[in-house]
Amino acid sequence: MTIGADKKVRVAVDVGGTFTDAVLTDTSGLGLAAVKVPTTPADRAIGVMNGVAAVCKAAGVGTDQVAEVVHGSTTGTNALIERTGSKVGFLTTAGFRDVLEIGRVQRPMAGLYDFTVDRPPPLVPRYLCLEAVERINAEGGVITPLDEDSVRKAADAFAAEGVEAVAICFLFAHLNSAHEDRAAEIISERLPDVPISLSNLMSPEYREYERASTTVMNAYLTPVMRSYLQNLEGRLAQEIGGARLSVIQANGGSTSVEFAKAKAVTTVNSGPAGGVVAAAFYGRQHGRERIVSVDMGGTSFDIGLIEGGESRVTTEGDFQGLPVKIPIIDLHIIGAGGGSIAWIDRGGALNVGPKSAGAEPGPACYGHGGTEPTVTDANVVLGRLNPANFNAGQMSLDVDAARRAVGTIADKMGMSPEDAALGVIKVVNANMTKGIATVTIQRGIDVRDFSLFSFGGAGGVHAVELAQELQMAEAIIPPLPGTFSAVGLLATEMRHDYVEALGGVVAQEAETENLEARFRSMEEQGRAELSAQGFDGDAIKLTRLADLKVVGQTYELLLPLPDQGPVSREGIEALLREFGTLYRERYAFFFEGEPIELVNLRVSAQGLNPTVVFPESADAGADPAPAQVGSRPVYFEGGGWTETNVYGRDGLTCGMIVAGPAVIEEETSATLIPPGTTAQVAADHGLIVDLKAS
Amino acid sequence: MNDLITMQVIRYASEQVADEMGYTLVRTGRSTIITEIKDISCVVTDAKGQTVAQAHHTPSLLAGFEITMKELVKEYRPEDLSPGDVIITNDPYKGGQHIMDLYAIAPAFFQGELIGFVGNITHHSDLGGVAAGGVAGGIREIYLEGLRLPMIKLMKAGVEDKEIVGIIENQIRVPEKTLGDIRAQVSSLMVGTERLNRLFTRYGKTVIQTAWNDLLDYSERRMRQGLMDLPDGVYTAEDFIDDDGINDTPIRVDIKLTIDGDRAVIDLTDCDPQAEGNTNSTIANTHAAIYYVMIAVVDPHAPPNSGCYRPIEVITKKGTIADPLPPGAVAARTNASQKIAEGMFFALSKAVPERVTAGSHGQITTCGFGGKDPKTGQLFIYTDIQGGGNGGRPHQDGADGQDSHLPRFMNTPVEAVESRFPVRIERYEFIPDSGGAGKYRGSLALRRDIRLLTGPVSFARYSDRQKFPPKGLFDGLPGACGRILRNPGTKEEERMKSKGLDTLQAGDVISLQVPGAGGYGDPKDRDLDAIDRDLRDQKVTVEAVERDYGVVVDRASMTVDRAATEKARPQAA
Repeated sequence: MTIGADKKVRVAVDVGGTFTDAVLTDTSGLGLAAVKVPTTPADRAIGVMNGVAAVCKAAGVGTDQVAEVVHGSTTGTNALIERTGSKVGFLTTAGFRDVLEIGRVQRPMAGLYDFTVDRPPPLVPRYLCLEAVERINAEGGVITPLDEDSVRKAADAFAAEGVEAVAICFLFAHLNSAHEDRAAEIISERLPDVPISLSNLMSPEYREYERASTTVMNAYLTPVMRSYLQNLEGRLAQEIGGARLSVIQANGGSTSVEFAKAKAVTTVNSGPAGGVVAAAFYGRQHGRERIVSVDMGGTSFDIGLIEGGESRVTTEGDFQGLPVKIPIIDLHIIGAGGGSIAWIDRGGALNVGPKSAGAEPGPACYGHGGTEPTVTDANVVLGRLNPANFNAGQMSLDVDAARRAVGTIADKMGMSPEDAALGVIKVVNANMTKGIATVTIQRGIDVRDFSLFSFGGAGGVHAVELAQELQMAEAIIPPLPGTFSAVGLLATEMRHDYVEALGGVVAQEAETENLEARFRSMEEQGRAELSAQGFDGDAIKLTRLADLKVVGQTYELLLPLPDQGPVSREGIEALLREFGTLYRERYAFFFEGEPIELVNLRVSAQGLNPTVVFPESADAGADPAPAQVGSRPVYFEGGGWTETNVYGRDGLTCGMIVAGPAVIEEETSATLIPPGTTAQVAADHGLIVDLKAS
Repeated sequence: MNDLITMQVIRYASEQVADEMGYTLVRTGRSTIITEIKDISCVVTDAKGQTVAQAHHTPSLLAGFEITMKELVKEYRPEDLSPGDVIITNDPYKGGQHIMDLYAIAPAFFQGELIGFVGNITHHSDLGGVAAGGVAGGIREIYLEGLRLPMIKLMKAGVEDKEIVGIIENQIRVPEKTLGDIRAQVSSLMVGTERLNRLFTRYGKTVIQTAWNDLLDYSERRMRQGLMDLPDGVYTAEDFIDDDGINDTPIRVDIKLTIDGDRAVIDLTDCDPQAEGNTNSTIANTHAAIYYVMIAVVDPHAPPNSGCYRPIEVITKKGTIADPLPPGAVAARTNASQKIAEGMFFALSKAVPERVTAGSHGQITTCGFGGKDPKTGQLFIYTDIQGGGNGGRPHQDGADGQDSHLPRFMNTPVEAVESRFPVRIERYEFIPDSGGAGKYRGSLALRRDIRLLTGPVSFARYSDRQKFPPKGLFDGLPGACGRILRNPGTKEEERMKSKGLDTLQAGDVISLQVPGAGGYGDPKDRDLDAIDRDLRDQKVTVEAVERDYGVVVDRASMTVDRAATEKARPQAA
């Protein structure tokens, strides 16, 4: 459908390593259009503007119709990976200068027996870590008043070193922020233009290293994000004018540019977070509330978890091996993608990854000089990918090069290239299965009644087999899998999270009025922030949550309050029952009658955006023959080479049933329907492979 | 080795079960030693008790399972076991580590048949004995170190044995903590058996058992191939424990390591007789040190399981420091086992100089503070373990602030300590100049100063390397010795014994200063930019740099004066 010239539109732009994806709908969520344009690494804002222009053109609307641009940025993530963030001065309590470098002293997991493996170095070297004389105790009381001269001395040193940002983390500042606040005033007198990040604002929770790490990372990214966003805002104002810019955060919600500039750390990993949000959104539309979402690209495999129709949020995550104590979408990223290289180890076992052929030279079949066998090469050898129609026909694949590459490991294992290629697929699938287990089974979640939701260019040829391996109920491949993360950006809600630490209240004895007052105060803040961003009435959704734990234990479980009304004794009882159920589910054992502690109260404030509506087709019967574009032999375990029907995704319409073995091809992806399984085409062209029957 | 692809698939799935058990234990545990430090380990074994997968925690706790499981399958035939049983033991003379480390093991069943075991081991805050925390040095008899449990069924078919719980409860100072931690171990096992059953349901018994056997063979094969790359020969080394906490005489550890084709024999029979104090290394602990070093040097990425141990023969003599007899006390065992590990590295440095590190801190500083918390009126036990650094490595400095070798512990956050215990931590920082100079510098020592806010408080501890410093390698210099001071920087400053049990008063400050680590290679070969960085970061002092590296430092810029240095140290240009 076309969008009228009188309508306003919303555009979402997701910047990836190679491509910038842009999608668009009108402000009612209709008229979905999607494009891919090249990413412009030197100044990514150019690619963003190109994407906006291209998607407007594709949808037949003028850029002057753009009301909002929702942006998923990799700028923060890249600055962290490449260590190109700013020069930060770190100020902490006297005696604890080394908190960042000591960290938790733990050796990295990959170095259990390998003593050459180190943790990532801190973002601030020791000479820029300085001390202020002050001390607050575990009750929040002042033991040593802030020595303001010690702060001035540090400010002078930071000025002399030319730091671009300052981070302050004092012990127990989450209980009493007075010293941090005053130190920030003193430093800003000396360094008026330098942004300052305070631990009591960034992450008001205990454990000094994790809080300091979060605060420092925020400072490290603030100047970078500020200048990037200012540049982008400037271009937007110049070329479009009037369009509001929103930025996606790692918690899966979007926020204003102003907020993102103040909390730059919240923008890290936001692209993958958008994908999980998209999966949750799509699942809700199809009545699926339990989903494992997987996004398989060239080098990485991002796994997300959705329960009760909502993506799961954690406060125990890390970015690039450095802890961040803010609510982020619980994402597990493993080094497995189409470019992952297969190799034989000294014991003769086949391994895949984590080394990747990357974009250059890429898999051997790209013909850019790669000789090592990759997952994509294995898929080519097995006939699962169409060498003549790859990446919208812009590329053809060299089958002989793929066979040669896979042949190198086949010879070592004494098997045919086809069987070696099958082995590569099995091992990479096992890696991915283990990764999925890490975010599901490890959290006590039985994946067998979950749907596997697969997107990203490389996912479709693995999705159904992965779901089978995990005994999952079904596999779903949505429409537009290649640009699905960007669709997610359009579907995200504006989101702000608030937390109040209670400092240990036994839930059974909690004063309900006090809890109510604390929830109310957070809700008022949330409502005020959202109305400043243009949301009101029913478009504001507030959710009350709480962190609870067994008294004496250390780790909490986060639960939404079952009764979202005013806090009552009955409501707390209901919350405790839910806690018991969840605890038993996770840890197998729960001793009834244990005192339970309320650790934190939380409010999540969401500003609701219009939903995205996928175009639908009419039911034209189950026979997929009209969509068939040909057939070719594909190699399967047990069956060997089998003539397999090939369908064009564009030709599939609602109600068609594609029986495996089959391959479904589209512009930027392909889906394998293995023998014995069938895919059903949904009205919105999503593919649903029901595995319960098989 | 029929199907190495299925083997990899089952391997990942089995590791997942072990990891999940570890996760559950940490989430449901109560003592900071579990929840923060993570002094735990979890395994999955086959029905014979051979370890097939371990969680990513502490390697040093692992080899003990090998011996404990052998004892367990001797004591319990399959028909003696039922689903829901949990067997516990901490007997150092039956594969145990020390009294505070409690094993819990559950049989796993599939269709009524015993298919394997899941096990975990956890360091407890208290299991009775003469000192709160159970980590006093200078103890003569195992009987004083706490409640020594033989193999007993804590749970029978899912029901906790009240009588056993009653016996334990009566012997310990903080039962709500210890029993909570034991129940966390049980939770972890329940999760493990359930997940293992699910795995068998998914793949079938034959597939998994074949894959497990393949996996053990595979690790063995990798180790054997790795050993073939090491030059054959007999390599020796010695190291010394400062003292046993009772007698002021050093104790010698003697390593004779033979590489013979695809196997290795480690002969420890010439180690000194067992000590009067508790620095004796139980056999499980001795094996752990040897297996750790062999895997680290031969093939650090071999899947760590029982197969890795097959090509390695360990010979010990009963009644020595490396294999003591009852009633020898053993709590301070890491003083000995870390020396065995150090000796192993130094012996191997002669065979494969590019695959070893210089001397690490070579001990584990462990302390327990016990007293009455004035806020609650209840007893408290604050157990803390200090990490220590690595020596210089063939191409890298030792990593400052990163623990080394046998453990994989975390520290206890200052805010976690002060929220739970009546103490204040006044500093936690690096000690400059404590890393041994070398082409690659040893890592810096850590210092943690703890002030007691109440008293009297018992202070149990063991540590070492306070007389024999961490060794340098290939002309690298030694690292600094450790020390423990009471009330540092005051008139009452007093150096305390490295191993002991004392009573402290409110207001006392204990300064725990762990040893540094040795340098690797000649300091004269150190990159000048690296010296500049260390100077800039105040990790070294000008005086030490000029003395140890033979460079001249420009006092104005606080960087190496290249021209002046070239005269003093011609090869530096």
